Amino acid sequence: MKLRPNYVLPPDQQARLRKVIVLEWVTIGFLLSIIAVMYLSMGTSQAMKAALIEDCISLIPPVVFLAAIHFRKREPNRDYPYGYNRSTLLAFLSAAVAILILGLFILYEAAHTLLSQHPPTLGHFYLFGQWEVWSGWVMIAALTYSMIPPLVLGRMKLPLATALHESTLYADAAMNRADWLTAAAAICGVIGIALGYWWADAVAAGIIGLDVVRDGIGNTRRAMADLMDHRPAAVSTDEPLDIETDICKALRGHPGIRDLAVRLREEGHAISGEIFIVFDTYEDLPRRIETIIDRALEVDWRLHDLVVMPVSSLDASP
Amino acid sequence: MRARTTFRMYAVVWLALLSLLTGCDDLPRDPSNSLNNALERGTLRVGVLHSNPWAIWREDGPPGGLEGELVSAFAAELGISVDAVLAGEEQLFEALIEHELDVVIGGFSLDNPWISRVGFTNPYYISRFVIGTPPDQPSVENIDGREVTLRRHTGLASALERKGASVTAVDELRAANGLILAEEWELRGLGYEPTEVELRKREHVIALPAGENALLVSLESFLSRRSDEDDLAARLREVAQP
Repeated sequence: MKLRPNYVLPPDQQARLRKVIVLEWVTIGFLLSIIAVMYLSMGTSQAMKAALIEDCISLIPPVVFLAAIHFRKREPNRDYPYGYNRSTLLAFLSAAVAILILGLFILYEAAHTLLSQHPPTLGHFYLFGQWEVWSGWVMIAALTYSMIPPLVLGRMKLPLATALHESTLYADAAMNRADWLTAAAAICGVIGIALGYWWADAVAAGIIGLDVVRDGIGNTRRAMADLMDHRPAAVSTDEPLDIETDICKALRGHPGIRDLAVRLREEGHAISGEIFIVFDTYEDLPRRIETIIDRALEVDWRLHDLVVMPVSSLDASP
Repeated sequence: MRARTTFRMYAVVWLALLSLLTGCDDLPRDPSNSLNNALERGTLRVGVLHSNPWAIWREDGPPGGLEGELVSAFAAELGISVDAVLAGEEQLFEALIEHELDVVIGGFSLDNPWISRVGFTNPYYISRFVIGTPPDQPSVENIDGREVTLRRHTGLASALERKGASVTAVDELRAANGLILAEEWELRGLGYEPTEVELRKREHVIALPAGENALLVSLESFLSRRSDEDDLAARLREVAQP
């Protein structure tokens, strides 16, 4: 059996990836500390319980990202001749679904509070067992803490996600954004409660929930599209990268090539596919094909394991 | 660089706003104005579920029992009087939900299903049902095979039997000898020594309308000043005296 070579990132990208892995571990660490702080400050408040569940859900993207990174390092083998690259796509799908679930959960909580007409009752919190503080202020402090790490980490992840072509990381940054926005909404909600507008909490959460659901649907659609071999697109804008045209341009005029066409698919962070070529002559073809593949792989760092298929005409279906 | 400046600006505005808010004495406010309305009306409307020694209905005066006394003292501190009404649990809580009452008392704990539908204070007293030993007998850790006496209708007889005890239910604990099961405050009053064998823990709260945080916060402040466990237990014993 011919195994596929393992995809290896260029050195500058490897450095970026190492940075991302550190960022993701930091994210997990902060999320765990946030979960602990929220748990200690929530008391009997339903709103804080919801915020706690949200923070638990937001652990999913960093965890699946790190899992995917771990698995895709494995060499292709007899059972997986194409290697483990697509674990990245699975991670992206689960991260995207997690965002969607989070959004739906926030919406449900908000609707439930509004429809049940049950104003949140917040009494005293005994700070260190003795100082009497209104629990609303303690919640605001906890929520402010829970807002800062995702705000900072999310902003750090976005440019790296684009540079590394890591859709899971992009989804994780979207999750961080959802996190800090819901925390901000919850703070507005608690201030609303302090001022006697008990519904403020639910309304703010509802608006954020809609935004998170929209984000989740977009990401889930893209994850499904990637698994369906959608043509390569930018992680941030979803615009086609048009590497196909770049390869055609690079190879056109190469001696012996009369006509060519390219089709590509995304396999997570790597891009693979076929080049169909109408050759003028078939002399020394294997060696020439190898040169062509090398030339094509130089077009973009994401390209991996391209296959050249000689055809008699581009319309023919081999 | 510019993003950092805006971020810093937001942080400063944020802190200023927060310190302004926490500085406000009248926060949190009541969505339905319970506390202000009570002060204007001059009465605190108290619903009483008769439940000795927690809340005792009195035809000719303010409610008694531990919670009756606490609520009356709270009203006195606010400078208003108590307007009490005696009714069944469902009626009281429905009136509370509809803001026809400000406070409901009756020995409710966090385990009460009605409590989750209204607002409630932090637990002001934690009552434990424990096994007690007579003063001249050694303490026990296990009641398997032992005889235990308890008052009728505490709902704990089968829990005792599951622990292997043989159970005698009586109307009056005073006549009992050997191990008894009762609330800790009561055990001490009978001269018994409480053990570590606990069968039920009740976190006692006072019910208020949901979301009325100003009323809640002022009642909680009052309760936390009266939360000395020994004082409360002593008062429970005095009230429970026949």
